[in-house]
Amino acid sequence: MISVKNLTKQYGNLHAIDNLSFEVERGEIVGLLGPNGAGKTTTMRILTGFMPATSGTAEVCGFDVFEASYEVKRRIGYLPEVPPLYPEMTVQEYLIYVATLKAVPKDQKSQAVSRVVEKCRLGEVQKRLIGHLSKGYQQRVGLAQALVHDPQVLILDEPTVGLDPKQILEIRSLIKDLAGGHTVILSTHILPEVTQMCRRIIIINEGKIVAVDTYDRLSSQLRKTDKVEIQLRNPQGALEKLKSIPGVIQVARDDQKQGAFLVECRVDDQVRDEISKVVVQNNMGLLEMRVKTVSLEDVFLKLTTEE
Amino acid sequence: MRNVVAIARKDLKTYFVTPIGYLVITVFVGIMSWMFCAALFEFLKRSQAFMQFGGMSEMNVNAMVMQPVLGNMAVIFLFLVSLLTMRLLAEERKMRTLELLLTSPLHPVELVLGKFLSALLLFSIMLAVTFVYPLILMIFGGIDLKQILVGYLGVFLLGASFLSFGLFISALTENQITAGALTFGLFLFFWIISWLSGPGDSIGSQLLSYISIIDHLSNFIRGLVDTKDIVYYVSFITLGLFLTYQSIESYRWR
Repeated sequence: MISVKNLTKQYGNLHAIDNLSFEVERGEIVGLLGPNGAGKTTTMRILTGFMPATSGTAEVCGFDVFEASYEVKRRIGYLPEVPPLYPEMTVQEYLIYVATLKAVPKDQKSQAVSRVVEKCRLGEVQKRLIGHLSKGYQQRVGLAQALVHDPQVLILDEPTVGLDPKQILEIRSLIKDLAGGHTVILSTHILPEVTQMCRRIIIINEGKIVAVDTYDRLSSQLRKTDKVEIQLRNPQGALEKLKSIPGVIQVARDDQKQGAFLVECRVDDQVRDEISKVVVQNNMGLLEMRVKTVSLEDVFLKLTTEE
Repeated sequence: MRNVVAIARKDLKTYFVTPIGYLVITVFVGIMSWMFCAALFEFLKRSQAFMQFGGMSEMNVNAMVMQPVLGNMAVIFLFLVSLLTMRLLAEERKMRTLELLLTSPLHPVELVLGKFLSALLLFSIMLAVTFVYPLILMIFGGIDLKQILVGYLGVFLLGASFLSFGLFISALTENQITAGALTFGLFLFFWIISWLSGPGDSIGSQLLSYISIIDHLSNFIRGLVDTKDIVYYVSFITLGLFLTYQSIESYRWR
């Protein structure tokens, strides 16, 4: 449904997102999890066709977001971080206006509006001015706006930010109800939120994907492995030798750098000690060795302490 | 096209929900009516004098009442235009609703045209109300309706030029007060630009007078349609709309 390949967005020298690749299947709810400034909003803005990427491609429903942005925009419902509302309009007027902009056929407009009014439980307030509604209701109007053209894909940027706990629960249950009918990507910096709503989580930090998996699998991986990057001058036979070290779980060649390997091992200083010994004893010419700094654990720690 | 109409309708309605539309119409019509009455009374006084003492066989209502009124209309609108355009795009940026518009299946050109059309419609309402004046003058007879319509065409084109540039300035900032002040300043400058040209006939003064947005109105008010003036206004409007489109596009690429 959504396919992102090597997506990069640069602002001057700053990489807002750097080489992102991921896939989202039809009917999935996927959480984009990351601390503030990780590049979540940028990713979503590119997917919705709001802004172009510097390089890489993104496809929604088989259409390229840049080449065929019209087709993509018809199929996407988007709730930005700040819901795009006109305070001087009534809820009903607003939803009819959005339905027109989203190319809902004339004879289906009022039906579409009453459908989302019911779905987002806006019945009591539909004749009131948006500017007079509480934050929770405004957020629901924002969600209704994203749903009015019954899009295949829903993109929600921090849908619960700034709401009180009761409103948060309401919005979460609303979003959960949407699963199946729509493919949903939602971003958040709150860990418990994704674990409740999403089947799969994409964790990004500083513009890079740290992990993509289900929450259960991710949390079981935590604290069990360390990742060590090493670069060798004579990498012949290194793969086997490294694998045979007790405590090393997996060794993978890093294709981007000559003679570089990514060693996954037990969390244990002795294993690293052993790796360096093997490398030196076999005259492999150690150029670089470091523990990968951006671990899942670091990100999790950042996220769990924030709420 | 459907989107242009939808956006224009919504924004026209906004003019009347936030009372700025009523306000501008009231101020405009109030001042214009005052000026019209003043011109009319002056005309009546003089024509009475002529009747008593004899003199010119016929007084020209067009030249004495409608022409100064139409000329002043342009100046009064110049002072009010920033109130109509300052909000149009600045507010969409501030309220983040531009994000909604630019992620909807519509072309940015449709957005620009819709916004422009809403302001143009409000301006047309203002002009339509003032059309009572020539109707009143018809009582006295002897008015040249064609000449007056040409005058209105000129004011309409001039107003449309103001609006297209006001729209452009509104696209540059998310603060509507900044947009309003900039628009006001720019048009004031456009108005006085030809004052420097003086009586001379040098190329410089001709150029200044050509650039001056108000000077192109004088032919229309006298009932003359000159292609040169129409081209001037149409290119002015197109340029304003084009720049608006460009600045919306650049907002996305930032």
